[in-house]
Amino acid sequence: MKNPVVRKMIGNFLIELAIYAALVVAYFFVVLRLLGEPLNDLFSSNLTLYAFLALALIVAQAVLLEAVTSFIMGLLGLDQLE
Amino acid sequence: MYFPITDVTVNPIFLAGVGFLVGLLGGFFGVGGGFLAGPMMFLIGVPMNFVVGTDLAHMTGKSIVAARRHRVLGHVDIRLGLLMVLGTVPGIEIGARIIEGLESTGNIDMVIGIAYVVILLAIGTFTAWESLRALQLVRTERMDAHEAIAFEGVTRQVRRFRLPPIISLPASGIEAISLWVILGVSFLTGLLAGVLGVGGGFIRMPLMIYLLGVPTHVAVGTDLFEVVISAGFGTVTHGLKGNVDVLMALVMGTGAAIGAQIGAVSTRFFAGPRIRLFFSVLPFTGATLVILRLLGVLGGH
Repeated sequence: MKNPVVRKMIGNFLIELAIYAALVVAYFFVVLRLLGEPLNDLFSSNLTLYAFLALALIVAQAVLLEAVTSFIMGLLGLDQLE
Repeated sequence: MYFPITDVTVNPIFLAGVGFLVGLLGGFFGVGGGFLAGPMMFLIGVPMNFVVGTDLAHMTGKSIVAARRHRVLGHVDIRLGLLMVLGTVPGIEIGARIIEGLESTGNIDMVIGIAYVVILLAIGTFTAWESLRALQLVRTERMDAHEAIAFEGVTRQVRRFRLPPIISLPASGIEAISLWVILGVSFLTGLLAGVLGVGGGFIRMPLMIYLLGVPTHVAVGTDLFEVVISAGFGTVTHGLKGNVDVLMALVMGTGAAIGAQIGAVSTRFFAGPRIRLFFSVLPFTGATLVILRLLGVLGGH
């Protein structure tokens, strides 16, 4: 690890992981706990709506997390890896 | 954390960790990763019906992240991906119906399991052999390291099939190929996936490279694009049967998002033959897991 550029990138990557981990923990406790009960009720009452809502949530989360990680990567200069 | 839909308590960090690992593999190799996530979820007590549906839901999210990243890197041939979906979906459907028909005549789980192991071992052995040979060619004949393939004769034979309509796929560097070849390859991978009950990335990715002549990096990105559509379709169909725990899939997705980004970006640092050589380990891992399942160590379907 003599190359200072590589060392800086690894450092930035670890910072990204730390920021991301903090965001994910907050996400666990706020969003997923709030969603738990309503989704369970919907699962029991209307499976068709639940199936389509499940797909919508998965897609929305993927787009959101991809934007968040891209933003953090850009902020820390990790996008230069590309 | 308690997941009321599946009625199980699972450590969310473990689930996010599984998502990260599968995301990393998916981003790098362009596979769904169900062969790995499924047994892990089963081991921590998730009921088998939820394992399949939830894994598909998580696979959809992870593949969106990885495919978007590969698109930025110029590794996704959307035209090829959409055309392949046209062959894959009916293939999966017919494969699943064949299995339904065979199951009504008796227990065929063992036969399918053995067929799956044989196919995985054949793919793993062939990919390892070909990529090692390609790497050797790069060293001895100064071939372009980025896309050296030691099996180009078959690709040329496939391209000689000129039944119209003939199309071009500039994003994959293919000037002219019969549409029927693409539909045939995608139908075959779909059929195998339907019969074997898997996503099919294992089979599709090598066939795109060796039969269609798609560059390895583009095959990885395009396969992920196709996984988004097929896994998304599977999420809804399994969701309608009550087999999806979306909360669990969302938790897995948090880890998968970062893993998929790292996996996708990492492909930039490896030439095609090297990626294929690493890829060859996956079918062997998958075959081992199936053997363990057949022996009852990992439970059944």
